Amino acid sequence: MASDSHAPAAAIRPCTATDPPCPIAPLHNLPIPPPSHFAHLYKPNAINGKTIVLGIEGSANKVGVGVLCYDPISSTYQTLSNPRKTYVSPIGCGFLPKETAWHHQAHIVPLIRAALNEAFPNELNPEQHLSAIAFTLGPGMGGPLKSCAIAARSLSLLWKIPLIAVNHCIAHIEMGRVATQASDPVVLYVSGGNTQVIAYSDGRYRIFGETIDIAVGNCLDRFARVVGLSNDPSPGYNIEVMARKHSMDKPLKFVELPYVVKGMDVSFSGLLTFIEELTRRREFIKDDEERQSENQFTTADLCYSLQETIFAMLIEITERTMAHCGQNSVLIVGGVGCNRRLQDMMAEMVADRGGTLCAMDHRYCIDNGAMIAQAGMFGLQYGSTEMVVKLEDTECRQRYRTDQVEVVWRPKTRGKHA
Amino acid sequence: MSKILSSKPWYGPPPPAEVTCGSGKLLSQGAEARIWLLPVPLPTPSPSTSTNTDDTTDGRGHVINYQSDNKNASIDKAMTSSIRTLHVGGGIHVPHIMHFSQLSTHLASTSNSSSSQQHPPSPTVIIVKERFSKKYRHPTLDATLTKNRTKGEARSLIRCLKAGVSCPQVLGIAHWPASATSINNNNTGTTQKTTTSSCLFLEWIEGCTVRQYLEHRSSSTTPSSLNELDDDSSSNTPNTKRHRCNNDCNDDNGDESPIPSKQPDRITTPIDTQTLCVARTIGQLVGKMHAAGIIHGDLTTSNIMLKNPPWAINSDGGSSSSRCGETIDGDDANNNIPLLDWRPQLALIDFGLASSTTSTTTAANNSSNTNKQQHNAEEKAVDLYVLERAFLSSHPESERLVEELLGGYRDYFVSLDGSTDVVVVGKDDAQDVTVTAAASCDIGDKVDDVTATGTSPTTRPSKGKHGHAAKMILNRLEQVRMRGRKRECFG
Ligand SMILES: Nc1ncnc2c1ncn2[C@@H]1O[C@H](COP(=O)(O)OP(=O)(O)OP(=O)(O)O)[C@@H](O)[C@H]1O
Ligand SMILES: [Mg+2]
Repeated sequence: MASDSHAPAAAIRPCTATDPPCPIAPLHNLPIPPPSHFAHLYKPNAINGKTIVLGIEGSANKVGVGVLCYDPISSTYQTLSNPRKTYVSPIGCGFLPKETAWHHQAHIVPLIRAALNEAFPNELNPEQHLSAIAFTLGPGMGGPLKSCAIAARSLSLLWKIPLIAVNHCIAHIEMGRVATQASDPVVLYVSGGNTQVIAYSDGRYRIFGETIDIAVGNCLDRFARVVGLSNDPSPGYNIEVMARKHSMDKPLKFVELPYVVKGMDVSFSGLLTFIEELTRRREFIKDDEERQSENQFTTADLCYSLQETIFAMLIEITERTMAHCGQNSVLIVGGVGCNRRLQDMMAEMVADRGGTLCAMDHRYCIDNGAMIAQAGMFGLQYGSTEMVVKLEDTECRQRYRTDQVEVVWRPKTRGKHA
Repeated sequence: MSKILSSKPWYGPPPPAEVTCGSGKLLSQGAEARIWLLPVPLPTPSPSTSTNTDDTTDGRGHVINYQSDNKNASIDKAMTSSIRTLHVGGGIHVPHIMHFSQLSTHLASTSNSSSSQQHPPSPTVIIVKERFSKKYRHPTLDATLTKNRTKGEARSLIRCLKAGVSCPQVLGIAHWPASATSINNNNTGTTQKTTTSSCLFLEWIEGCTVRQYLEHRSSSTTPSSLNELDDDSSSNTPNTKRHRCNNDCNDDNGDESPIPSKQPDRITTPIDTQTLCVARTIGQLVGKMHAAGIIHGDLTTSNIMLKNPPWAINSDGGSSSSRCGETIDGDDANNNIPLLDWRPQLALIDFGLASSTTSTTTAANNSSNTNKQQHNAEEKAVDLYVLERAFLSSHPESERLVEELLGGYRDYFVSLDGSTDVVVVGKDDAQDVTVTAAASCDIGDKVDDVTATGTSPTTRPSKGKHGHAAKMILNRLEQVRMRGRKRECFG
């Protein structure tokens, strides 16, 4: 999360994200892909019949390109390269579609070049190894999505390889499943634009719980803006750092905030209004001074209380989904999933139920190109007519629900915990 | 779930010894609460004739019964037998059980009052809903949520009872420290927190959940699925036992309208007069609850009980005297039963996430309060949306049932615009001084109706205030559904 820094557009050099190298992910309990129905559309790589897909992501403030390779001999997926750039907006601002789109347009070509160079060092025509190009169709912000889609379309025409349209949420889930080998987890998807509890049932990823208003990441970001925390590397990260001032000998104050769980759904907008109002109170100490009296509270207190409250809400709806579906493994994906406190709380809840929490990993928590390639690879290998699209069907969809996609690569479990 | 519970009968902190050491039986282990069926020894109650007016679509007799006898009687008794009461908000007091021994004394004293004889067998068996503490959340937040949800549940249940909405009677409330075992387990040197578990003592509703009913109705081949009744959260498994639409549509219920099965081997929910009637009655019941200003917050088919499953009627001619799981045997279950005059008797449970709309409709009458009215409609619409989603996600192809349910909901409101209801409910209002703000608001509204629409009370019923309110809520539901789809957008 803190790893990629924003370089000004002027100083673009080929570079890759500084995330740790991605290990090879064996298939384990995931099914072995069948020979594709799309053999006429794509040719596996000449060397050992590998399938290699380039993925392009740019639905929010991150633009990333990943190269993913499937090796049929070892049945493994391997990320060959996965560089990424993040648009960081100034303090007090969110990232606006127009500027974000410009950012992505400036970085996409160097990123593609960097990804290919890293994946195929010293090759003159690295594109000849690619079987297809996967890109994010949605959901996300229109401008940034379109900027990346244009790049994907151009390359597809230039290199004469098929295009695969990928749902961003599905990409998170699939990368998470491959990376953690959790075959059928309950997924908590928490990011700047999405808050969903998802479980697979009968050919689709179904949304069991979600936010009724704003996304959890959005709530955190907006609060960070109100109290003037930096957007670098991300507002949520800075809130987490503030909240970590809490310790046994110097506990932060827990300020009670509205806790809104409705069925399996959550709501954050009332809480956000409430906490914004708190910052206008006289008892609120903005600067890092000590509390003078009992009823005062600091920015750190609010950060801590905000995290404790909204994460408890998320854990609660996740647990309700687990109970409902009889599932006992949990996977957290999306940017907010990097938060350690959320991870710890989830681990505690899951342990109580005798289940397992999949380890957190940048490969699927933070938006990146490889995860788009991963979902795209599945779509290609299992011949999803929905995903392997013609050029004219590649118009981006800002609203593209997780449950709209038919998940052809997973077995139909008829009626299972529908 | 059963997987998770295989080693221990429960998870989370150990329950209070009072609940386990007796012959308490764990009915359901939920995510935040455990439901125990607990026999409570009672002195023989005085015999009395009971007026059993359990018609959920029209429980007015119920209301008066509760109003005139039960509330005052039980709480007075509680006072006189020196059981303290706990204020659960909204001016509502509930017997506060400090020690387990008090419970039976208290129950004995209330069972002597004629009112609690609504359900003929005296409550020797009761339900304990035990909310336990969650380790993952901040202790302050945890304690607040545990206590407040239990108190809130009691409050909402009593509000419902007052409004004649069928739900279990509230027998008492307790906040007990978690049993000693948890403390022994924890001597690892880490900071020791004393956790509380809050217990709500409730009337036991016999029957099964609507979910079990619907799942049972769609399974003919293995009706034993209902034997899993004890494990409510077997929510995970029963679907596999569901049976296919094309078999199930053979039910001999009058003018059933089965959905033509495009894919004959998909599991579907049976749509016939019986299930439609259940759906409509659910709609009416939810309408009644909303009209009383109560938002349930967790409407699902597992949180609605069916007190008289049709198979029980069949076996002993009229009353459902034993749990469906016990009476059912393979053949009865799906052969249907001349059920022409069978009317579902429903009860709402699980008010842990309930709230009441704070604004008064009387204020809205001054048309100065459109905002609050909007807010009310929003909350009710979200409540309906949660129910709709629960139907569609747990009961495949139940769209028709949801439609019927919403029809019943609208009809209930429209029926309030007739004049007969007004008199009765108005009388309630006069009788009960401690009626809560939320409950009284609608009652006040109804009284207003007499004056406002008194000139033409029945000519255009759908144009009445309540019909209008229902329309507003259902329009709002449309918006909530749309927003559900929009949510994917950045915002
Ligand atoms: N008063 C009652 N009479 C009979 N059965 C009851 C009663 N209350 C609850 N139950 C049974 O226990 C189950 C769970 O109850 P309830 O919904 O109140 O608890 P919960 O902890 O919220 O459960 P969950 O989290 O699974 O929804 C119900 O589905 C029902 O089968
Ligand atoms: Mg429940």
